[in-house]
Amino acid sequence: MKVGRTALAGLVLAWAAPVGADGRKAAPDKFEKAAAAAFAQAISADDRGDREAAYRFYETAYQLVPAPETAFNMGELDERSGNVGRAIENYTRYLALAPKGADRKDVEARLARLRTGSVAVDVFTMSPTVDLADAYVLVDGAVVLRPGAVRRTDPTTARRSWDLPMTRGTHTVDILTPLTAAHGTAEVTEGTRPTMQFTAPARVDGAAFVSIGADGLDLRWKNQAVSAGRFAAPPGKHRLKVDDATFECAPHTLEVRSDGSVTYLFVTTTEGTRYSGGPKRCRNLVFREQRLVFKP
Amino acid sequence: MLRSIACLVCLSWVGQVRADPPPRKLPTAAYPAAARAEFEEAMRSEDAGDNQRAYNSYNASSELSKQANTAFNLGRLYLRQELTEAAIVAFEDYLRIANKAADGPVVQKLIADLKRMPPSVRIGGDAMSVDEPDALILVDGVVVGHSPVSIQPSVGTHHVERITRSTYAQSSFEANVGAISYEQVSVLESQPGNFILSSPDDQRWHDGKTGFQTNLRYDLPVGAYRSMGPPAARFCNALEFKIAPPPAITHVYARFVRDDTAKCTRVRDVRVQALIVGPP
Repeated sequence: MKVGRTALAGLVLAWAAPVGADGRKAAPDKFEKAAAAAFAQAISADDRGDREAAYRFYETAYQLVPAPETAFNMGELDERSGNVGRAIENYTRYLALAPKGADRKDVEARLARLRTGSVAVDVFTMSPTVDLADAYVLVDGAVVLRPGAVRRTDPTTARRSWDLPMTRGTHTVDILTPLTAAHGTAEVTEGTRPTMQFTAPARVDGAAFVSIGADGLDLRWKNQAVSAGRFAAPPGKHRLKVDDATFECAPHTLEVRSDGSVTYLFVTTTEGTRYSGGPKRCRNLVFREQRLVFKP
Repeated sequence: MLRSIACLVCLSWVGQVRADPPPRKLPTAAYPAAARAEFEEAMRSEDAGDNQRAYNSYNASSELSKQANTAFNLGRLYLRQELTEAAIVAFEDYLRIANKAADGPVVQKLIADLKRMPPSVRIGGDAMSVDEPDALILVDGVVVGHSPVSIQPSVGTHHVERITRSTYAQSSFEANVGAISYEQVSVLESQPGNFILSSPDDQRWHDGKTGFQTNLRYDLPVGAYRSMGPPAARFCNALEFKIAPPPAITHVYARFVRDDTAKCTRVRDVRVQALIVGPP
């Protein structure tokens, strides 16, 4: 809790009340009185362990008078309750209302911690033919599991899965084995245990794999779209044509080796989504290329 | 007079403003609860890179309560998307609503700078075109780089060409003060050949030995050429060039300007280049 709770109820009243010509503060208006009462009830509910009721009273107090202390207490209650998304909203609200608060750095640190906290995503397959024993699993272009990583297997359903930590948001997930490959996206949101089911044919050939981590990007090799998956390019250097919506981007050179490895390319942008067709050019792109080696 | 291309490099004024836009503003105590909620949602969307959602939420906030800081942040969002005209309107809105804002003079200067911004043009191909990557781009007969390329041309009309190993496309564009534009120059069919006669002036003639046509790519045997134009209407002076051996493409840029005093067409500003098209 931010400061002494009972003192805060008085603060809410005092903060808003103007000083009159006779040097005394005017009586608080009806909104401030009601907000102070709701604030006090929130504290009482929290003290007796009723967090839901406490949050409702805080919400009432905030709607009556949007005080930064109220926003902070709501965020802190959410954080204690594991309600990450709402905690982020309320702490952000607090910073907006008290931009020069003495504890700004502390609240920013809380936000950073909440934003980077990860959620375990249940990534699974029901396909019995996928050789998961030697799979690389990549999230947003970074290897998170290497061949040999332990996975869960349900003996009755043949469901095989991993728990992959991911932050809130949309993520690209790629699975590459010696024989096949799969590509998909995982949506991680507040409140539910995210799952992602993938399927793959028994065999997908190719020593190159291209994965896109942003809407609107298109990569072509010899006029063949190669934006989501594995393709058979011979060893050597290959120029990929890159487009962002209708705008041409500088081409990218992909090098494919003859040593049995797979060249994996992940492409994303640092500029977020477009609005209203802007900017009128290819966005700034990031190309992450790596060699994935499978043991014979 | 030759038109000049003021800057051939991508590091333009526009890029700098985009990289360092003015800091975002926060909602004030004057915001009613619903308008503040939309404003905060817009900020979160911006931080998450969802510019469309940020725009929708800022607009929703503005419809609930017209506040200066919303207009300012919208202007900032437009600026980052290089939608200059919309950014100017939003910043002018900000000044109208917050007419005694402490940063008023700074915002006024920003608006004035945006209105005076030199033209910025990006030139590239079309996602639907079938031609190869690594196209050469020429503006007014001068190679400016490989496609896509950004330039800051002088204000006015310019001739642009895009050349790959097997295609040729050309058009013209207008560069205006304060404008950022994308010029799409590409073709859907191949057009090979070792010779291009490039000009903003349409000309087509046969001089008795060889046929010539501007803004078309075709083959001419290797060797020297000297043409005085069609027999019925000779040029004031000769067009002279040599066709280079393969794999070069001989690119000849020329202006064809009527000289009313001499009553003939004057061939001017001739520039001959042997272009090799491929990866940089």
